[in-house]
Amino acid sequence: MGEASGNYYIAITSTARTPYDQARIMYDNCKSDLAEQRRTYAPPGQKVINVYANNTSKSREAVIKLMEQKINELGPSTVSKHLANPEILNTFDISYGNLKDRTKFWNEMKKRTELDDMLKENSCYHIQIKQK
Amino acid sequence: MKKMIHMFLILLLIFSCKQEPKFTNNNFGSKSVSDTIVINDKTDKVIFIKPTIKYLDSIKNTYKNQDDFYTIADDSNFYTAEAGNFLKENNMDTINVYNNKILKIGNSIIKLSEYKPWSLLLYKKNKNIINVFPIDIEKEFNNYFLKKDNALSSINDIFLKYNINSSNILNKNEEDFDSNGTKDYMLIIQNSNGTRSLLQIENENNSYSLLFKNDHVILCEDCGNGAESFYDYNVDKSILVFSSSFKSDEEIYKTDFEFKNEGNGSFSLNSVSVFISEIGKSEENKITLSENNFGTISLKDFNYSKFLSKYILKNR
Repeated sequence: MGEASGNYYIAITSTARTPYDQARIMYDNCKSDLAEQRRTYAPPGQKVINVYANNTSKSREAVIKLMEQKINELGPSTVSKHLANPEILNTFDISYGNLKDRTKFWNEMKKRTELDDMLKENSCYHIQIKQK
Repeated sequence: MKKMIHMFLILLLIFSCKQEPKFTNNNFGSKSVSDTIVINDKTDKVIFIKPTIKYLDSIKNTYKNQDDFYTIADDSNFYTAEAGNFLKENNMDTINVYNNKILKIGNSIIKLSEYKPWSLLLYKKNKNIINVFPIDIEKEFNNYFLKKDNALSSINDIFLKYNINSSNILNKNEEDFDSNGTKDYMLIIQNSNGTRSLLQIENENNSYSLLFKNDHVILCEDCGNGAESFYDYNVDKSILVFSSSFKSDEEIYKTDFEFKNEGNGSFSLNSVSVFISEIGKSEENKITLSENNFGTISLKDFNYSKFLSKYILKNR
């Protein structure tokens, strides 16, 4: 991709995350603003948020563990694409601010048959590659 | 008895003192009565612009595939939380404010609806507020809060500041020496007294800083008796090389210097090969010097003449 798009420096800012990391992030965000989190997750994510909401009296680590269990129970990739099994769906973000030619990168990536999805986010491209 | 009461009071005082964190995190809700939030302008801080519920509900419907919205929101949540953790580790005050609010910091009035939600504002007294994305927080934090204020916005500003006439540039190499995605510069300039200087200019997100100006790397062929010469200068991202030739009364020293990029854009002397021949003879003796001989010498501090006399000529 780098060769084809003339981008020889490509920074990956996030790739496969663990269910624990996802639970930790969701816990901190729920604590900061539960209403916002309610609006930003699909139904499986809502079930993880329910775990937070139903266990506010427990310690942070205990709740994160319960949320992690729920993520695993639901199937991690239903909560976040970054939790997908990378051997099946490789999900990663590329910082486009560091790309020499971001348009060419986008266009070249779009041509790839293995591309599952690509989204433009705040300062990065979210890319999902089908591995199988 | 009085002594015991005093002891008790002292102990009570000690155990009741709880150390407060040096940084604060404040939330200003979307239901806050006032549209304008006045922020203390004395300390450095980072403002997290949060989307209101109304905003989230409205953009959710603009996506053909609602899963895309959830993916984008999930990543925004991830980067926002990681930025928050980073700022907490760096003892930075943070404030969460909804994007339907107006901020007043000192004399600045900031309408947050003009900025993207899930983005940040970096504030430092007497400095322009900047808007960045959480994904870039480490780099932007360093640039904005920590980096020396002498960074300039273009390489021409560097030339102006250091009185460099672009026609005096003898050699200019552009490489991303520090691997941050932007081109940095290595220049050789001709000074009015005949000497030449080597300059390294760092470009961090289009903010330029002179890392060093070393007047002692490039020998001055016109300054001596013509017994020295400088040639084969070459720079790429990983290596800077040059050669010199020095003629004493009896011998000729041809020396190849190699400086290696440490990976962060700083070059240090890696190896030196010296080919010594007697004048009038073609036979050469080769000596190779490494860091084991001369220790760590950065390009910034390298002095050709001193190196020559200390490591090459001293034993002759």
